[in-house]
Amino acid sequence: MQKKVESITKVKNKLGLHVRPATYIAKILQKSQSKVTLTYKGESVNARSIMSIMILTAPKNAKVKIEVEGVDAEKTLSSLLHAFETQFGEDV
Amino acid sequence: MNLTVQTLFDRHGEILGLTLTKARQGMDRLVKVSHVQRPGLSLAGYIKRKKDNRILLFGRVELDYLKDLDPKLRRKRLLGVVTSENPAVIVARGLIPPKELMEICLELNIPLFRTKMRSIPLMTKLTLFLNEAFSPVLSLHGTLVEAFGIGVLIKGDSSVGKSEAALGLIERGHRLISDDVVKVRRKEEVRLVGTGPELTRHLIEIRGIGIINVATLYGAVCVRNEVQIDMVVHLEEWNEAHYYDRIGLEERFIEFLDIQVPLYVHPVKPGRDIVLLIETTVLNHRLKEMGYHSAKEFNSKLLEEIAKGKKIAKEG
Repeated sequence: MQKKVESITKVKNKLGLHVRPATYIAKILQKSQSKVTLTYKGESVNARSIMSIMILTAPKNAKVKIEVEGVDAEKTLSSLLHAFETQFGEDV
Repeated sequence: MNLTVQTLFDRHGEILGLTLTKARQGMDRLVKVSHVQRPGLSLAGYIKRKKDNRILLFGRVELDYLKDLDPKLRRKRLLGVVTSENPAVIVARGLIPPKELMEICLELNIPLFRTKMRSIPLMTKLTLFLNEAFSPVLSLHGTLVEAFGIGVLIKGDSSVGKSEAALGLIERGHRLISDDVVKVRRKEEVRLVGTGPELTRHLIEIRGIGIINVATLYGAVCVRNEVQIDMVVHLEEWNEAHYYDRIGLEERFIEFLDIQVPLYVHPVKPGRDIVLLIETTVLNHRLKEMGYHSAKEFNSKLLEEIAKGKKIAKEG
């Protein structure tokens, strides 16, 4: 069943959404079947694309909107939120 | 979109030959419309239908007319024209703005510019810049390349092979505009122009290799900053249930920003050389633009032959 969920989260790691977090997000989404969109400062991008995430140039404390649509939307959103929360496995 | 007078001045001030006068405050005022207004009749006191939110442009006619007025009336008439809504005032032809105009601009915090340019060319250029700044923009997921002079937007799901197709095309001497994120802008209401975000310009991400810079790897000849989008190629995983076009008589379109662009759907399957397919599609598209439609041409020839056969069958 197609589901649509969304949430707004904060970038918590010091360097913002740079190469590593972007890769981290893309990696998480490899397991997901949903369509994921990240929005920051009016710019919406496909979260499966590393380059797209990077053009957002979201710094620490940036509020990013995550929209997930698909069969595993809820699961995907919670794993993404967890990734933002744990700072993409980066040390502070 | 927020366009301030300062931004406009920074971007185009030099080309338009603009210099700021003493009235230099209010540079943060917003330009809200793409029109430029010559006061003309409003100066004569006819202020019906006057649009207040435009940039005002005073040329020789306006200044000559004002010169003939008595100072008190001049101020009154100018107050009827210049309002606190106008983002900026420009005096063309290197003319000196009347004292009253300067005073009003200072009072209302409107920046007053001068330029040596003549009114009509100035108006044309300024309108062009403003139109561009106000044209609608769309951000798309896809890869934009130029092949045989045709701008091709490659679309499709992640990991279907858009970047690989682009790399193959570059290797054959075509050009990359942007990979992954394409900013599309509508120009002159009739065409679409695509470009890439500054940050990822000329970069491609290839699974297994990583991020590569095409401009440094293959040379400057392989890249371009922007191109008109003439057609869209949609790549998708081969779907047995889907019927793919086998003749080419049917024409499909996709719409962006209210503009229709020809669409070609290509199934991806091992053994199908996608680069060659895109090249061929582009060439066929070019041929169509030039007036030769391979499929239609063949079809009419076929119909002709059938008609001939019918005649013979009758006679026989």
